Amino acid sequence: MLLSFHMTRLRALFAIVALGLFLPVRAQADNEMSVELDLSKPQIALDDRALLTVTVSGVNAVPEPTVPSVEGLDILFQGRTQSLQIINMNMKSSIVFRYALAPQRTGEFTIGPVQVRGRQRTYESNVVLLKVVEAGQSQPATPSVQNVIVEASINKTDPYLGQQITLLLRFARRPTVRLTNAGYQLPDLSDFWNEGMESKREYLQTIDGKEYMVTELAFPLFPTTAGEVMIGPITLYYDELVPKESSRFDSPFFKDPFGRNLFDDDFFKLFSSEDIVKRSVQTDPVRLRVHRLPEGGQPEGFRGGVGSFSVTSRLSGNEVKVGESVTLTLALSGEGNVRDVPAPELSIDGVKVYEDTPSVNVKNYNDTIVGEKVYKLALVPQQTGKTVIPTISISYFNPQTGRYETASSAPVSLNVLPSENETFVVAKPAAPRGGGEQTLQRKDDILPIHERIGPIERSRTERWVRRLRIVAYPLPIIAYLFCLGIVRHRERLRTDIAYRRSRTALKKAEDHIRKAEDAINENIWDAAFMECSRAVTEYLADKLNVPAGGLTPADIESALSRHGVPPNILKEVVRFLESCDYGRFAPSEKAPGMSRNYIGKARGILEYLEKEESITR
Amino acid sequence: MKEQSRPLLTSALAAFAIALLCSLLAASAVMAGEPSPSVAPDQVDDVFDIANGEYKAGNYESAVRLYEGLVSGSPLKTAEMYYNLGNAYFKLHKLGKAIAAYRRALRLAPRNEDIRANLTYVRNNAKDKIDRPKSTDALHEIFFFHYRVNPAEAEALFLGAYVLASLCGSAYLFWKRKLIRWATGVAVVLAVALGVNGLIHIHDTAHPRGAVVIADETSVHTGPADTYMVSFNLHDGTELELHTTGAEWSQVELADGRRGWIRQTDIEIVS
Repeated sequence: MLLSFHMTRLRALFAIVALGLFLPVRAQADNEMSVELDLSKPQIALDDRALLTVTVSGVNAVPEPTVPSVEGLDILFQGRTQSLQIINMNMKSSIVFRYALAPQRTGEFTIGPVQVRGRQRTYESNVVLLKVVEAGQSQPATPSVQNVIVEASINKTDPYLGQQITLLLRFARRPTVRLTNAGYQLPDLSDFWNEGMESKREYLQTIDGKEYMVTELAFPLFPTTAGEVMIGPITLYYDELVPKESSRFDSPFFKDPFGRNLFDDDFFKLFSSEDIVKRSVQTDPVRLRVHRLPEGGQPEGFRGGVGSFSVTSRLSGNEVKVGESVTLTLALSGEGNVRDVPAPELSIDGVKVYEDTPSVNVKNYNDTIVGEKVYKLALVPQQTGKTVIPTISISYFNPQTGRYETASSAPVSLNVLPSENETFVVAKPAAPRGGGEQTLQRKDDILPIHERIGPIERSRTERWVRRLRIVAYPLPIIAYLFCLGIVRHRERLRTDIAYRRSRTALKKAEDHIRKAEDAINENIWDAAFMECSRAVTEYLADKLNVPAGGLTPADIESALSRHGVPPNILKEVVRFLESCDYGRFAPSEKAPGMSRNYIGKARGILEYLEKEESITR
Repeated sequence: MKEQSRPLLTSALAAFAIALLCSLLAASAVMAGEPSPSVAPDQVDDVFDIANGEYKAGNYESAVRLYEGLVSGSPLKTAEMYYNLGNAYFKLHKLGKAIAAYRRALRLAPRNEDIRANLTYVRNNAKDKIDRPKSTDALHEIFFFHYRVNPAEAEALFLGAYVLASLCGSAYLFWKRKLIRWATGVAVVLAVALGVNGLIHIHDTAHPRGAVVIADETSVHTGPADTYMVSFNLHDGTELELHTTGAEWSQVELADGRRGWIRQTDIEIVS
């Protein structure tokens, strides 16, 4: 624990010193600058790539160097890294520019010199040579390639035509090897039907005593060409992250007493740099011999299909009416390329069969292609009775047994009922005998045309109805609303006293005037004045919903003025009531003439007040 | 007071509902208008007889022309005209046209068994067999009433129920009898149901959603142009449901749920 504590402190101290040493580097002069060109390997295959590095030492800022183009070689810039080295207690800064070299042809190529512009002059690098050989001849020179194993194989080298084989691509790598951007390119597979449903698995495996991480890709294929067939090499591409070959901390100076590097720690790895090396490897080609299907024992109805299949049939309903359709679902399923299995032929007496495009569902189940092909057939029975959908069979070649086999579905019965719309036409016999009795025949054609336009009269009626719409639609609702109004009026008269008094005020006033006329006819003058006065007073009491008893002209004047009756009318009403009282209590000789005159006045006042909205409201 | 005003309020609401339905029906009916006739009503019988004569003589093309003239030019379109037109088209092996004519005939005379029989027969002769969804049959069973009356009958029935509801409602205003109240309630419900039924008929007439393939064979594409992928092919006499109608292409759906775009010239729209 104590040792661990000291190690941590020592590492922290180194980190601080290393960071602090960056500052003086900026002051380095141009005269210490040098340019060096280096290749990751001197020889590569045509399908391989090499890494070119341009190391500019002695400066900490330079523009990107000018790499001369080389015919037949693509030079791709991969990035730059900057590093600091301490040699004999002297600090040295360097910038590394990385380029990937992708050859376009074989041959020997001279790369360089590369030019770098310094502050005072332009510097040139050395020259390197690269040899490009044919693909597959490249020597596995670099140790990193040995850390990767790629191989291709098939599970069956002598399959039958149409039998599924599995092409296996195994890619093993040491767990310490760091790879990114891995991909593969399949060869020409035109001699096979490929469902494109590869499966992938990964596992650890010990090979020659070393542990490898293995990625396995399985490609199910169906040979479509008989004879010798070759599956070309599969090319695997990947980028390998390679630590810099000469690490500045590899010196024994940085080893602890136990031989461990003091900088072998996640913290210091932040300051280390890695190169990305693009690599590609190929598998060996795989050869197989595809056999034709045996001709002997081939069933008569065989039209293709290799694998192991079964057939099921199902009806959407067990009962159907004549002329209506029922769906027969026919499912072919099993191992193998179900797409190759042809549609079974189905013919049923008294039933029309309509085919539809089948649907196919294929899955990769443990590297075995299994599938289902579903046919939906519309069956339209033409006659009643029990119809049996017969056994439906398909023949196929089973490569496991090496024989032709037949799969059959179970028969299905269908009960055909008479059609609801099936019509029977009354057909007159061609030569009527014995009274010309009519016979019923089942209809097997459309019914004949109609000779007469029967409902044309009805159509004329409809035209009249159409014209009457303008009345027919609003009239009933208007009548109803009228009745509703009457009922509501009656109801209010019954329940609302003020409303009833207001609505009956004029009628009662007219009754009083009629009584006044009777009194005049009977020469009872005071009674005539009294009735005239009551006609107006009670009318106003009813309209204003106040008690009529004890209502004086002053009360009336006050009430009417509150309702906004004009002052001249107010005065007229008050004067009229006072005159009536005078005539009633102080009879004179002028009373007969006056009383008749006052009946007219009372009518005039009532007529006016009836029009006055503030009172009648 | 409150208790007494409640029936009045209910009655007023019912009256309002019926009045609203009436307004909708009346407005729709007025908007539908009447076509201007090109065949005089007194000539209809003569033309019909001549067309029938052509049909019997086997001159189906001539019969089709005459029947088409009647149904397009006569103000009195009858189910018999469309029925005979359907027969003539069938004889010319134009199943889609025949189905369209029978469907129009059936709309005018929905209880005519002859039309149903011929329509079923022609449908069975169509090349494409498409299962109808069971829900469609269930709808026809539940709303059998809607499918067994034509638009004019639906309107007449509504008017009858409407007048009855108004009369019963008015009577109940004066005579608060239980029997009259029940009769009013039943009549109002009936009038509303028949009114909705009538509105659906009017809507179906104004916005037909049915269509029949009239081309011998046509392709249904995934989009409204020939450049789109072909989903499936259809043949003469296949019935469809319209979803969207564009300038040249219509989006259609089959009874089994398949959808796509079809050229409008390859289909005939029927309500």
